[in-house]
Amino acid sequence: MKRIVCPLSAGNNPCATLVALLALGAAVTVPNACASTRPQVGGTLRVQMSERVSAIDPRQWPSAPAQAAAAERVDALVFDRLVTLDERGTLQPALAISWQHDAQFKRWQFRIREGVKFSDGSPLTSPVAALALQQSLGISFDVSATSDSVVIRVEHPVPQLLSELAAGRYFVFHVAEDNSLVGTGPFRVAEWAAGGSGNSIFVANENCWAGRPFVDKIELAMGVDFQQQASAISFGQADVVELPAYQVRRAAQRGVRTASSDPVESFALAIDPSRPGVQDARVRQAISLSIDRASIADVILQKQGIMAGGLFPNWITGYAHLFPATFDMARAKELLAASGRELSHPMPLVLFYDSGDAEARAVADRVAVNLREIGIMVQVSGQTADGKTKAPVADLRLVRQRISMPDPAAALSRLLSSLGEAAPAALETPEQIYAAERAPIDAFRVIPLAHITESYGLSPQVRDWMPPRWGGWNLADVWLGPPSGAGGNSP
Amino acid sequence: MFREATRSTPMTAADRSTRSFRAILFLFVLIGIPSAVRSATLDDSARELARKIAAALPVLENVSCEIRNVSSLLPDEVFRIDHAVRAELQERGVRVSAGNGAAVSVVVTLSENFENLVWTGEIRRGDISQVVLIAIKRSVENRAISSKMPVTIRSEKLWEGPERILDSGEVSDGIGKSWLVLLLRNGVRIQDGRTGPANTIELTPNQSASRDPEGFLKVWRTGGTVGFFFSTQVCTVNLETLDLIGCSPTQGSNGGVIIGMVPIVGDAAPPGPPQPGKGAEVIMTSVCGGSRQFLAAGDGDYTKTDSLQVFQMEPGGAVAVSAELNFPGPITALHAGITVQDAPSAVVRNLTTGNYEAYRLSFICGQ
Repeated sequence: MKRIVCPLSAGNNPCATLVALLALGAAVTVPNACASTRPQVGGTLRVQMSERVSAIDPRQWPSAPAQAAAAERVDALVFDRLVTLDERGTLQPALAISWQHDAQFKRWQFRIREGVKFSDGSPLTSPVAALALQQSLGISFDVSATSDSVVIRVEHPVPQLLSELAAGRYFVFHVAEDNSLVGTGPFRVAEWAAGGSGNSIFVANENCWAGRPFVDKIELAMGVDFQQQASAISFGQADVVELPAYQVRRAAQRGVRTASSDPVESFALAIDPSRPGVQDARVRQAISLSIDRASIADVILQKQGIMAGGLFPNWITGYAHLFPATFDMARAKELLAASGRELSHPMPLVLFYDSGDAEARAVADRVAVNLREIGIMVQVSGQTADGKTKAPVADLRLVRQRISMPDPAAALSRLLSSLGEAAPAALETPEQIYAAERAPIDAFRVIPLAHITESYGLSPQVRDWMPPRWGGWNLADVWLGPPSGAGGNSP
Repeated sequence: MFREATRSTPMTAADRSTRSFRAILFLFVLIGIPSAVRSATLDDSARELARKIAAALPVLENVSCEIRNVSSLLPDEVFRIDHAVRAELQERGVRVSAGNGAAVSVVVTLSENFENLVWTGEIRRGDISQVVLIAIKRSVENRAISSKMPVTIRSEKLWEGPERILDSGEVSDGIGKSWLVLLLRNGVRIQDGRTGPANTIELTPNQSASRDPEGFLKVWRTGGTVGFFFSTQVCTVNLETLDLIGCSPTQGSNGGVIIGMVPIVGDAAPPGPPQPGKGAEVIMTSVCGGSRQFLAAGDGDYTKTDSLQVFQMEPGGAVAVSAELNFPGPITALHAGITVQDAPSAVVRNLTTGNYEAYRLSFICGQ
């Protein structure tokens, strides 16, 4: 139940009561109806996740995208950044209240918010913030402090620095005497499960500059597989669990309350055109035309995904229709025949996927089946998330990439980097963004397959589940109410 | 959502021999996506897109033109856009033919992203394709619903913006001039009319930082000043300069009682539990010959769209006397206007745009 501003509520204002009674024309008591609709403070939120975060430490940032996304969620419970993104994806002040840069985007100055304290009571100062950011940004950035500001200098122009600082590892922290990291965020660590297995406990930071969170405590269980999470939410042993695409419908059928984001992850094939088997663009085009994306979206991803022709879903760009996802086996066979590949390259192509991702495995298998139908044999090979590959080389890589922010330029830059594409010279205008998205797709170096939603199972007590549109958590604003009787499939 | 690519002429083997068709798909993008908010109407935007299309078309060619809508635009809006695009093309000397036989085809797609309406024009001549785009900031038309119920609720949007507003209010001089007052987390903004000069007055609230900030406005005009409650203070502002004259503590909670200076009225809830499916309810000045009426919002949380409906207390219980007026997000503040001087108002957080919106509510009888 939402809270609605109730001015001069009749319950505590005799004049308002009088007028209300006169308006109703009856001698009735007028309760303060709105008071009960406000968020309730208290309770323990039980959260489960499949990834293990080894440490709450922005300095130890995982390279694997899934682990980095998990680390970002957990770290955001404890730490804040200089700037943040609001629900619209617009940059807003956080620990910095204002900023400015020079004309070349090489010198940035952030004025630090006054009066902010870390959860251990120590004050946030510009030298402390500068030290933390220097460690996260690395030696190519020179981070220094003035009396009230942090100054970041870099030799090359960084026009997107604000977007970069609003995501990822760029949290502000300080190192306590016991060597633990302390933040200014809505929670502080009370117990940390070393190695990321078992339960970690976060308690409310009573003096958080942005306001105390509503729940008193979060119990976070990491490394819980999806099956266990599904059981936990069904039997009331958790309040928030992750639901992979293939479990969402099943969970809803069991009466579990589910919430899904807009599509925030993408599956795409990255093709290495330097490999002999896929050097010919016609072969790469044949691969693109042969993949049945509708089956991937509807069957493998259980309609929790949409087939993709472009790198981004429509809610970000608005022009996804300019990237049609074409499925044409006959044409694929024609192209392949024209290329003469069957004669010159009888060896199977090697397709890598993340061996820890069951959905990726299923998508990779589907791609292999489709390619086999046009005469291309594929060896599907799992690759561990830490980059230690089980096979020496790959012609194709199945990439699962998360959209970490709704800024198309910043998101595209990250996505192209993860796909092994060269960074575009500039992504400052919409024309450049569109062209940069278009180029690898037109060259068939990247073949988008599907965009996927992010889904959660929620207990009936969870209220105001309002994660950012681009996925993730916003646990500081969640509160726990009495169980809602109807259940239903939305928060 | 996606549609298959179509082309007017089939590919030949020669086309495929050296490079993919996409390599020769000559995409030349003429984009004019502004970051600034546009006040242009849909018609103006449609003409702007048509001008870009016309500039990209070969001279004196017959073209076919198709408009597709994959956005939330309503059919009559699409019709207007279609008409405006064709009219502008013809004014620019483009011969738009009805059939599919034209050598050049133009497909206009009316789409949208999380922030803007995005309209694309795909111009195809054989395998050559060119794309133009424009983006237009959404504007929500004032809406009213019509029904056979005795009362119809009408909403008029007074303000929209990304900044979080806790409440809104209006004050008028009675002869046509009005001021819009918006309660912010740390002050108020007073605007002369809807688009006139505005002044933001920073005030220190008497409460610590909160993730659920609360506050309400009660505005009134006395001569050349406007007064309002803010936190537990009563403040006055000079209407000429829009500058703060001063604030003083009030008596009691929630603004308390300022006898002789302020009409002492407030919103209050009707007796008994809320109606099924309803949450907050506030008593209103009865309209359309009715009596003992109240406004009811939905019972969702901040993740749900919301609605308002008028009920009337009858001997057998409350009866709906209006249809629901839907809003694009949760209602976060609601005033029913319990005296004749008060305009009922609501603040809504639009779930599509993320903006906060201030509405004036009114009631129409017998439609």
